[in-house]
Amino acid sequence: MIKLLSFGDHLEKGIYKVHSRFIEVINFCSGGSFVFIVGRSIGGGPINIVVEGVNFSELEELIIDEDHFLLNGEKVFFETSKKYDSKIKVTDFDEEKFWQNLDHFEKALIENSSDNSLTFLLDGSRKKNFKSSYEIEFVRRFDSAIECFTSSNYLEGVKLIKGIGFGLTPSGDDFISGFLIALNVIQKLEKVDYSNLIAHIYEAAKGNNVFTNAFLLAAKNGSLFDKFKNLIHSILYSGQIEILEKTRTLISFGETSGADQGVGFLFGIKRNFNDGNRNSEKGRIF
Amino acid sequence: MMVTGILKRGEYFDSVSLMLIAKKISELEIVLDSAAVMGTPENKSLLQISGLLTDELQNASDMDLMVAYKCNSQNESHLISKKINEFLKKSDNTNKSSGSLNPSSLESALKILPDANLAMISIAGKYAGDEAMKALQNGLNVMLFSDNISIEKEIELKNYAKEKGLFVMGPDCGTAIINGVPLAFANVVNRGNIGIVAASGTGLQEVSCLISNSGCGISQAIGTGGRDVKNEVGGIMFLEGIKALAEDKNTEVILLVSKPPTDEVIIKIIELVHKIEKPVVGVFLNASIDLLKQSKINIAKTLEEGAMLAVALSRRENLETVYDDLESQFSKLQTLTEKESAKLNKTQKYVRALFSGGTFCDETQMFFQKISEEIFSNTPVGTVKKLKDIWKSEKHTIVDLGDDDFTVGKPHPMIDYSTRNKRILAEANDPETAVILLDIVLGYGSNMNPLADIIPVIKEVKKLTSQQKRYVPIICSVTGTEKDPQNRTTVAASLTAEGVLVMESNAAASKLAKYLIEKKR
Repeated sequence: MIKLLSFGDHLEKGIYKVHSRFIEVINFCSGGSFVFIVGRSIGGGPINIVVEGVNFSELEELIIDEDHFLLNGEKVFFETSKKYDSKIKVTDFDEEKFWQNLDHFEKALIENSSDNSLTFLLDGSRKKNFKSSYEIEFVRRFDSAIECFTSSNYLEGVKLIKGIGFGLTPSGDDFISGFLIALNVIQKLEKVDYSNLIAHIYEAAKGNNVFTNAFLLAAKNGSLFDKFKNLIHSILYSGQIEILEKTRTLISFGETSGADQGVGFLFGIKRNFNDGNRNSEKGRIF
Repeated sequence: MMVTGILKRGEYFDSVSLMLIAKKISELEIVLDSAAVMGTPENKSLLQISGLLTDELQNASDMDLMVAYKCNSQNESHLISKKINEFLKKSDNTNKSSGSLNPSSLESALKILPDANLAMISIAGKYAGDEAMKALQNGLNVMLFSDNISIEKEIELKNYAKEKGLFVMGPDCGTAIINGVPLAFANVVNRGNIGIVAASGTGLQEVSCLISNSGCGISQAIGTGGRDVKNEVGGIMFLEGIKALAEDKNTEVILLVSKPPTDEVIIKIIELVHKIEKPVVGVFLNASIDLLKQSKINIAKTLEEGAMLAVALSRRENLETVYDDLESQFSKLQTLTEKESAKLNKTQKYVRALFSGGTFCDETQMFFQKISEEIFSNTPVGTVKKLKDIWKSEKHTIVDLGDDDFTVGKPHPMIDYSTRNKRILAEANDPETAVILLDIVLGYGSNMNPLADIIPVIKEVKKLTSQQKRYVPIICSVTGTEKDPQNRTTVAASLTAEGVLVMESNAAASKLAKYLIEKKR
């Protein structure tokens, strides 16, 4: 019997078929829409349904309706109390502490992420791990893209890195997702309007890969998966220990995906929050 | 120095696996340079700049894995290729499944099950045709559940399959039973000596269940998809199905089920059946029987009659017994009609038939078009008129709720009863409704807990009509067997306990509804 633990706040009605399978994650697709059926260890998200009591390897068909879903023919009602809220809520926050916490996050990212992640953008010495001609070109593209981003030529930067890298969601797309999340967070922190920039970046980043597009769309809408939401919450309101813990949780998502999104987020915040003032003051990388 | 590209279509890996694979490849001493990435256009561009893009990899798409490497000789390339396949296989087993088989492409499925002889394809129509061709080229029969495949593609697939001695069931084939295995929407039926070829999914389910419930069984049930018996396709697979059953040593009786084939196809069927020694029964709903009369096919007017004739032939009984049984059924239905009609008031005049099975909708129209010119449907046949608004009944209304107009963005009504439940209440609320006619289809693919969804609405109808001092009989056929996961006996008994008039077949249910309406006129 299926036990529903949580369901996303951006699920779309439809008949879904399996797109891809991993342990405790079955990605279902219907046209351009996705729903991820996941186990407790993966957690909630805007298009996640977190369940227990299912054999993931046997899942084949998913139907989402107004008030229920059918998973392999078994009907489960959406209980309002289990609806996942993908939006980050920003109340009062301490700006100085926020900058300090970003430093803690950066340190945690560098110390805990894979050598092959985009953390070479935070620690240049990591570039030595990229040896093959493909990897060398990959690094070169990112270096060029960062130059574009720092000169506010965002769309050119996006074009350079979209779709490149490893995994089902290429590293470049993960970075862009993180950057879009950062812009959404800054909108809330500073009450500024980045909606045009967000929309343009999203349009430039969108490609033929419907799977990646689903993540980009969530990021564009400021809809966060719980690992990222918890991390941002810890950066806003907690301290070093919790940030380290949440960073490790985020990084556990794929070999580099979580870390790459984290790098994109960090870059987006440092580049754009308070017009990047802290960035220029301390002469930080990027 | 040479560059080799390996393209693994539809094989995706998470970044953990992919990097591990890339690392292992790069660690092979004979590899000079390498990359293992997904086939996005941007990754292809990077491979090109790196001198690693081969012709084969040019065709990669986002969901394909590209592995490229440089080495010094052909021999080294073979060795590396072998190693890469080992890495991929190991990674596939360790990262994607929890012990069961989860192939992500036809190629990987065939590696796991090299002896498989049938591929079931249920993906978006625009890709399904190509996948079906790939399966045929690998020597597999195909069940094509997907729809939205062009007629040209269907013809191409079926001609290719015929040439290779293979089957293409579909497109839009929802039901088949092959070697005792129910495929897609199908029921758990007895095995036996009756073989079925059907261009109608619900029709196949109905006859196979009726045969099984009578104690006989099915050897094979081959679906063809509804378009197969139309002129464009020309009955390619319907005819191949008949030939296969004629040659099958476990099939002694052949039952053909279809909405009306075109005359051209009927003639081909008649000619083929003429050469077959085994007895053949045909149910061609709403077809003109002039052509068929001259054939050696035992023609049945309804799905129920077709099943009964096949059973009688299977048992080598005189076919007259079937007509005796139908006569006896007529008497029972007449008695029931007398009893039920006495409870109706003067304003109650019309039948409201709400079907989940399209073939049932056609079959019921066949009964009603004989008694009135005021019959309406969203899928009219014969003299039946088209509903102006499919969501609102007019006079006698017979609706297929499984038609595309009702199912856009919604599950099929055999799975999700919500649309029909709302309509049942609307019909019950109409003082002119004399009878509500329903079907419930059990088996794999259908609603696994039909009672939980239908009983509350039946109770609501009783409450509503009782408040309005009316009685609206609900007549329902239940298509299924004892062995179905929902259990037909349990479902039928529970409905009967709620006052529903449960019939053995849609034909019997339609006849009862028709007699009630005739009695009221």
